[in-house]
Amino acid sequence: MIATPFEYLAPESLGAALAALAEDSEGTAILGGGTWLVPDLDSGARRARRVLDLAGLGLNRIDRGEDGSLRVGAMCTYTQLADAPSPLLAMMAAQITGGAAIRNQATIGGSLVAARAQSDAPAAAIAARAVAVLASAGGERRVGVHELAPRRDEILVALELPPPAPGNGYRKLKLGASSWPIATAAAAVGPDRTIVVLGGVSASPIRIEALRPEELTVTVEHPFEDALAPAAYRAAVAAPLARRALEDALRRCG
Amino acid sequence: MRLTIDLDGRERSAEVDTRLRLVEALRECFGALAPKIGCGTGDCGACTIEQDGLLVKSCLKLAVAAQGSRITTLEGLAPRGELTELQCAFWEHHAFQCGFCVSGMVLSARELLAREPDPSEEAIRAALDANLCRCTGYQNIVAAVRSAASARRAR
Amino acid sequence: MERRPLHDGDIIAGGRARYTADLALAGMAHGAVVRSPHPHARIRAIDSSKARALPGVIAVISGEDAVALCDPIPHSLDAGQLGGNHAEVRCLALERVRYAGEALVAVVAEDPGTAAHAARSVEVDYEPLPAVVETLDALAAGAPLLHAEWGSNVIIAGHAGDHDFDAVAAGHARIAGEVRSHRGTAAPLEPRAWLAEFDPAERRLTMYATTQNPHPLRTTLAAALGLDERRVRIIAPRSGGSFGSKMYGNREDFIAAVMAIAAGRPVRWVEERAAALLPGAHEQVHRYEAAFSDDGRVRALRVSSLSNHGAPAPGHGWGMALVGALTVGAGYAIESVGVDYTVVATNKAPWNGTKPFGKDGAALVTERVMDEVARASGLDPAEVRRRNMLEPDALPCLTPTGIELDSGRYAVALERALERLDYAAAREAQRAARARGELVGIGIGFELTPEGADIPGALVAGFDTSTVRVDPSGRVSVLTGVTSPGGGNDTAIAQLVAAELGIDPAEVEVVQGDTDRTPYGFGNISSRGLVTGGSSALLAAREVAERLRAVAARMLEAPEVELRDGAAHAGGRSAPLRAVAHAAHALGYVVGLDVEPHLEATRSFRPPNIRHTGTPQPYANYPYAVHASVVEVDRETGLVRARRHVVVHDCGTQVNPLLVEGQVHGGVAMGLGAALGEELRYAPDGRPLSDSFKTYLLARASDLPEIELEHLVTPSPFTPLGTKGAGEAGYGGAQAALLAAVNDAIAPARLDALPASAPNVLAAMTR
Repeated sequence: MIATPFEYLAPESLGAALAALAEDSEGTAILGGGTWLVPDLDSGARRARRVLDLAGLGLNRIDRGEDGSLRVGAMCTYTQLADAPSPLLAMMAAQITGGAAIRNQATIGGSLVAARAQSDAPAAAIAARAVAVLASAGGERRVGVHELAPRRDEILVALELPPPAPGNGYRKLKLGASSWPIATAAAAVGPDRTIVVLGGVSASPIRIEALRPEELTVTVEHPFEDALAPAAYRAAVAAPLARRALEDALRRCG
Repeated sequence: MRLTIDLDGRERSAEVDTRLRLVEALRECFGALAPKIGCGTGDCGACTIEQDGLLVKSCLKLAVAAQGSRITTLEGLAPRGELTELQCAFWEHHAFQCGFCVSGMVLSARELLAREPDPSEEAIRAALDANLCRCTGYQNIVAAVRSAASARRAR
Repeated sequence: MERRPLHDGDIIAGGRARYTADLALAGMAHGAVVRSPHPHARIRAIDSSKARALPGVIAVISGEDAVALCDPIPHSLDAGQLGGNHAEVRCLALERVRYAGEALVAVVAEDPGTAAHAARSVEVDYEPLPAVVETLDALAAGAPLLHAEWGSNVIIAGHAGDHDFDAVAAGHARIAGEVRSHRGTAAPLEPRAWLAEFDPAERRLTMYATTQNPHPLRTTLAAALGLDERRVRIIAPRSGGSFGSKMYGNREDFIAAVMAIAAGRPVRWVEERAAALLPGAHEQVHRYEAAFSDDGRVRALRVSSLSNHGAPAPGHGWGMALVGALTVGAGYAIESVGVDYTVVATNKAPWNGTKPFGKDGAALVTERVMDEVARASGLDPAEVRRRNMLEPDALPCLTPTGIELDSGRYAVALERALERLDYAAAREAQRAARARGELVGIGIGFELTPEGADIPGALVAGFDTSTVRVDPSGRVSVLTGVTSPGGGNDTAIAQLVAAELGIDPAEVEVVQGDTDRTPYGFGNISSRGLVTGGSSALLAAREVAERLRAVAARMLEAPEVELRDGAAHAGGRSAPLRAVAHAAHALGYVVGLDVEPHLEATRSFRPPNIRHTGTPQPYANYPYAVHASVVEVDRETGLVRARRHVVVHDCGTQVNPLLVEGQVHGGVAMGLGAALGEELRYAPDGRPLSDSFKTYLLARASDLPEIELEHLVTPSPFTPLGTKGAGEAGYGGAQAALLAAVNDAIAPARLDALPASAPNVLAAMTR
């Protein structure tokens, strides 16, 4: 049971949500899927005067453009993404720890905003060249997902993705079925560029431009350490994981 | 706050403290004791329910956000006391010992079989990854699910 | 006897099973506690004014307040009485906290949210003290002491076995080394929970609790609270698993009672998962030295074990070090075995008795020795086991450490396991994999687990008691002093009683866990449930059956009565059991004069092979198992996949093989999970890092292979049916086999410290 009372707001339009947020952005917690927020409220790690639920705002649509570009609502769940026409997001979503129930509930937006090092979403979204669409009472702005830093009065409403690269690979290293990611590697191979993005090995994802696996050089300057794995381990597995994801992507390129 | 839900096939309404998570509201206010609290952080799966047709971990949901939901717990699978084929398979295969995980396990298995009528061992184990069991080593649970799947296909 | 599913399985499968946290009492309030964030600190002051001022707060109880209500907690197994150091432990810490997570203030409020809020509002002025976290640091000269009056951080040190190593080892080749195991915990899915109510007018306490041992809890609670034991009722509802974590001796049991007394209302308190992950076990360092002859036979084994116990506690936890020491080398024909054990106090949370109660340590070090002897002598590891295992007709026999093994066919189990694995083919497949650059390993693990302990002076008894009762309507009840943690011993007890009375097991109701209803018993602990509860129920059932037959003989006017299919049969006639039961009550002077008129018998079963004089022999039976593990190791990431697991298990006669298999599966999963990476980690400053299932990684379905299980039946010569305990099967051998397999895969690199997590394995390979 959450220790202190809060006001629960479930606005039915984005405008209403943004206005409400602007009133008290300091004391308002934004509720997406709830998989991070609800346990934090219960444990006292997070205290909020108000909880603003995004569920009624219709931010859970996936729209595909004729050119193959994609607009993914921030409230899209991993279950929805597992079938989406973005190979990287789909591969990443299918492997989320926690089973069907977590995938039904956790949202791509929530994951990106939480920006935890031990999260699958950021690296995959960066490799997919996603652009974050942020809305506030003052308007809308777009920023590359790798630079995502929402202000207190902003709500992440969507990701815009260009058409997917011809070859994509996603590898995730975790210690066991219970484990969050220790390291992830998302690779996108195309005629104009090849990128591998490492997640989980550092506080922020690492982008690596590369052409062939032999040219892949991986340097992790500040490897991340947590209760599950020491920094040295993440530094050691980064290169093999990146190579494997890239090999997968090249293979799928044909 | 007055929370009205469709719980295991019946419309129910109760006064609910807004600080309650959905699993707590179900247990304390609606007498739905099948979902259990094993961790409170969405890891163990003992609180798994079906909400509006989707499997969710009810310790990760706020009660206040569940207004009007259609909720199914393990008790709702066999409302008049008779057990479903899947529940019988669990029993016959000794797929539970202490029973604390069974609510989540059965609901996860049910969801798997609804979308994959002929799941491989790997698919069964992957679906059950959502739920922790400390007693059985999962062996008999996998056997029960396999048995229920083939019984269903045979019909 | 019969593969029978749980007799109340329909209730469980239907979602109607009720556990302690499902229960409520009218007017119930809710408890919470304040826990120390510091691993070691002096409590300078506690200011609970903000907490008390919150609306809905009913009581705030500090350690000082609790002194008037509750004495220091009686020790379940006092090291101070056995040559070690005694620690006075109160339910709520007084003056000092000695581990992060130690409870020092209890709060009762109208709802759990308010209780949590109040607990977080209590302001404690701590003076942090230097803390010790690592075993060797705690033993170093000048280390901060948890109990200054001890002069050291040693809870107890002792020796099992002989001191003849040097003499016996002379002239033989030697191997020596060290192997370490990490801290883990029982982590049953059901957290501990209590619902307590105190009647001040009658000074009567009623407590529903997730306890394994309701009667010993009643005895110790009454003593500490100054209550008449006859006015204390403990009820253990259905259990969501325990594996030792719910043994009596937990200070939380006493906190719950104090909450109810102070609040003047019934209080329910459910432990959070983070708190449930505090108690620990398994963390040991074993230094070993073994002397072996040319043929690979181990002649002498010397082990020195250090256990990181965490802060001293009133429970049985430290006993695991002693039991592990007693079990080293058991099952092998080793002439000299000597084990020194030292239980070290540190500022981690205390050890709690945890399955398999120290026997995992014995298997770990013994099996490591066998593998090292194999490596040194160039023999196959399976062959080394074969040459060292005791022959069946050498048993019963006393080991050098002083336990008397009852019966066993260890080498037969080994052969069966190798056969099931197809050892030769597995080695061939390994060679082929190696040629492709893949790392595949095969490991063997032998476990021998003494069960059914009797500890003199402690409320851990080798015997137990059951009552069988038939009422005038013919309904049969068994009231037994053993409890079930969920393994199904109640189902098996029903089977045994039903067989004696000639009825269907579904007709037998088994009552457990209520101190007002059942005979004094010792609950579940040391895998004693079926052996003692079942055997005592069997004896009681036989007595009642005799009386029924005597009455029926009169009714049917024929001497030879058989109880079968719910009726008494004799001379071509029959009478339903309910008619016989009714007649016994209503026609006592007509048909019941040959026997005691009462259709109720209470009998105890006391294993005859336990003895505490001469050479002490504290265990009733000795089940065992041989495991074989096949693993793959990813050479770039160190990830270990358990590909196959074979186990041949022998717990003597099996009343219900379905239940036994379930126990073995669960134990194997626990052992494999522990070996693969279930680890309670601490920061260097003594704060626990593993406070959820995100950081304490239990094995899940896709982590585990199919467990290929076979059974041998070598009955115990000492129990009425030849049964042995099955409750701890699987863990020790699985863990040892997995580590052996990993080391086989990564050789010549070697992992000396569990867990075989990817980071540890990669580090071992790149060293």
